[in-house]
Amino acid sequence: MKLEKVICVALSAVILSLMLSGCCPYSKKKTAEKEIQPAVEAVSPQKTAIVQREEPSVPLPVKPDIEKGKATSAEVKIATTGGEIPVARPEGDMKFVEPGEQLKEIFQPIYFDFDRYNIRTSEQSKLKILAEYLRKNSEISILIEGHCDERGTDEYNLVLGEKRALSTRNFLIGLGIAPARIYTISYGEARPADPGHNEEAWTKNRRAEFKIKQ
Amino acid sequence: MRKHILILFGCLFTLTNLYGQSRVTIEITSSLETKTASSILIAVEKDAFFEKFSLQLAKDLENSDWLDIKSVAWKTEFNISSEMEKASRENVRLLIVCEAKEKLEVKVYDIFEKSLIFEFKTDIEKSPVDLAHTVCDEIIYRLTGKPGIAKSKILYMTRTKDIHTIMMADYDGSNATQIFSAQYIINYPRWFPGMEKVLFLSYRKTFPSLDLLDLKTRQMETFLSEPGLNACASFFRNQSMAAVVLSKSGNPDIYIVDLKGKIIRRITEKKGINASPSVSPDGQDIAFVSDRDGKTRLWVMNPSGLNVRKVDIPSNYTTSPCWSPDGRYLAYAVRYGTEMFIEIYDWNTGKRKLLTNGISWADAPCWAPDSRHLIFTRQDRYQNSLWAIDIHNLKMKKIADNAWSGCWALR
Repeated sequence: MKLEKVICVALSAVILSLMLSGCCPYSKKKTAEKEIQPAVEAVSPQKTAIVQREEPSVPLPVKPDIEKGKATSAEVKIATTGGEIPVARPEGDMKFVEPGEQLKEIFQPIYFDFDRYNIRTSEQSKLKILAEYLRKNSEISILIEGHCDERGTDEYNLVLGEKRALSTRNFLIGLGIAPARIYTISYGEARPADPGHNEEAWTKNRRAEFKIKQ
Repeated sequence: MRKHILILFGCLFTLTNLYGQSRVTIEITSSLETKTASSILIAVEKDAFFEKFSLQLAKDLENSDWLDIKSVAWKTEFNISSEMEKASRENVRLLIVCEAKEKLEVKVYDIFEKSLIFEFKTDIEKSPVDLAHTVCDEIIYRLTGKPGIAKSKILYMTRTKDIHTIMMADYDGSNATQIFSAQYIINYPRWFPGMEKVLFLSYRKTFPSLDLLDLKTRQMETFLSEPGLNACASFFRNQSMAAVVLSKSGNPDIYIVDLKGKIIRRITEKKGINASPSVSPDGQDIAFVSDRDGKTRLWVMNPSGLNVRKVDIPSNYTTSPCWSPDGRYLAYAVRYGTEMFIEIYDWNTGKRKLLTNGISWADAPCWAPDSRHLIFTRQDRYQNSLWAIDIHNLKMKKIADNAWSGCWALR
C-alpha cells in the first residue's frame, strides 16, 4: 500500500512537472526561436546563392498570367485596395515614344483635380479602354507621365506628379495589367500641355499622359 | 537715440574663449530691425587695393543687416581716444579699425564703454573683395555669435530656351557663374556636406535621379538612382546621412540614406504623399510635407519616423519646409486665399511671421548660414526671380532674374 502510494506520488510529480514544463514561457520562447530559424536562414545571401545554383536543375514554375503580361491576382488585390506595388526598375537607356495617330483614342490623357491624385470617375473609362488594349497587346510596355499645373509649389509638384502617375499605374494594375509593363515618371510642372496662365490651361495641365516603350 | 541703442543691446557682452582668443557675443534682446551705428577707420595708406577693400567691407557689413556704417575714414596717424570721442558725438556705437602690417589687424571698439571689444589678425588675401568678406564674417561672428554671410555662395537655377543651368553667385548675387548646363531637365541644386559638391535632380538617364557634381574636379557621379523618383535631399549636419524622397515602393516616401547613396531605412509608410524632408540642425527632427490627414500640411518626426506631430499652421496648403541653421525657425511656403507666401514658425514661441506680404506668389525658401536671411523664388506675372529677405526688418534684395530653386546654406 505504501509502495503504491509512493509510485502514485512519483507519477503525479512527473506528470505535473511535464505539464508545467509545457506551460513554461521559457520553453515557448525556445520553441518560437526554433520556428523562426529557417526563415532567418532563408534570406541569408549564402542560401540565396545556393538556390540560384540549383535553379537550372529544378526550374521554378512560371505563372501563366505573368507570361501574358497580366497582373497576378495578388497584385490586383493590392492595387485595388490602395496598397504598394514596387515600381519597375528601368533597363539601360529606355526610350518611350508618343502613341501613333491611330492609337490616340486609346492613349488619352487623364485629368486630375487641383492638388489631388485620385482617379476621377469621369477618367476611369479612358483607363479601361487603355487596359483592354494592353491586355490584347501583352508585348507593349508603357510610361505614365505625371504632370501638374503651375499653381502649387515647385518641389511638391514634382512629388505630386509622381503620385498621379503611380495612382494611374495602380488603377491599370487593378484592371489586370502587370506592374512590370508600367513605368512612371514625374515632370512636376516643368512640361505644361498648355502654356497659358488661366483655369482652362491649368485644367489641361493636371494630367497623366502615356507613352509607349520602343 | 543713445537710450534707444542701449535698449537695443540690452544685456551685453558674454565673454567666451575660443582658440585662445577672446570672443565677444552681443546678445541683442530688443528689436533687431534697428541696425547698430558703426564707423570704419582705415589706418592704411590709401591705395587702390585698400580703397576697394574698405568699400566692400562697408557694403558687406551693411548687407549683414546687423550694422549701419555711418562713415569710412582714412587716417594713418590717429589717437584712438579722440576718435572714440568723436564717434560718440555722432552716436556711433562701434568703431572698426583696420591696419595693414604683416597681416591685416582689425580692432573693434565699443564707443559707449570706451573699450576694445576684440581684435584679430588675418592674412592679406590677393583679392580685396575676398579680404573684405573674411573680415566682415569674422566681425559679425564675434559680435553676434552667428556665422556671417559675406563669404557664402548661393546656388540657383536658370534657363535659356532649352538649356537648364545651375548658377553659383556671391551672397549678394554678384559674380554669378555657370557651374553646369544641360539640355535635359536639371533642378533643385543643393550643397553637399563639405560645400565642395553640388547635388541636383537630373533627368540625364531619362528617369529622375540625384546627381553629384564635384566643383573642383568637375567630375559627375550618380548619387541615387533607385527605380521611380529620387528627389528632395536634406542633410544631417552631425551625421553622414541624408533624408530623401524615393518612390521605389510604389508610393513617394521618405528614406534615410548614407552619403554614398546607400539606403539605410524607410521612415514614412503612410499612404499618400510624404515629401520635402528638412532635417533639423541637431539631427533630432525632420520636418516634411504630407497629405495624410487629407490636406497638404507640415509634419515633424524623428529620424526613425516616430513621434509624428503636425505643425500648427492654419492653411490647407503648406509646403517647402526649411529648418534654420540655428534651429530656431522653420521657413515654408503657405497658401492663404489664392496667394502663396513665405512664412516662418518660431519654435521658441510657437508664433508665425509672414515675410512676403504684398507679393502674390513666393516659394522655395532656403536659409542663409546666419539664420537671419533667406532666399526664395518670387513670381511676378509668371516670371521667376530669386530674392533674399531679412526676417527681422523684412527688407528684400533681388539676387537674380530668371532664377529659381535657390540654395544658400547646407539644407
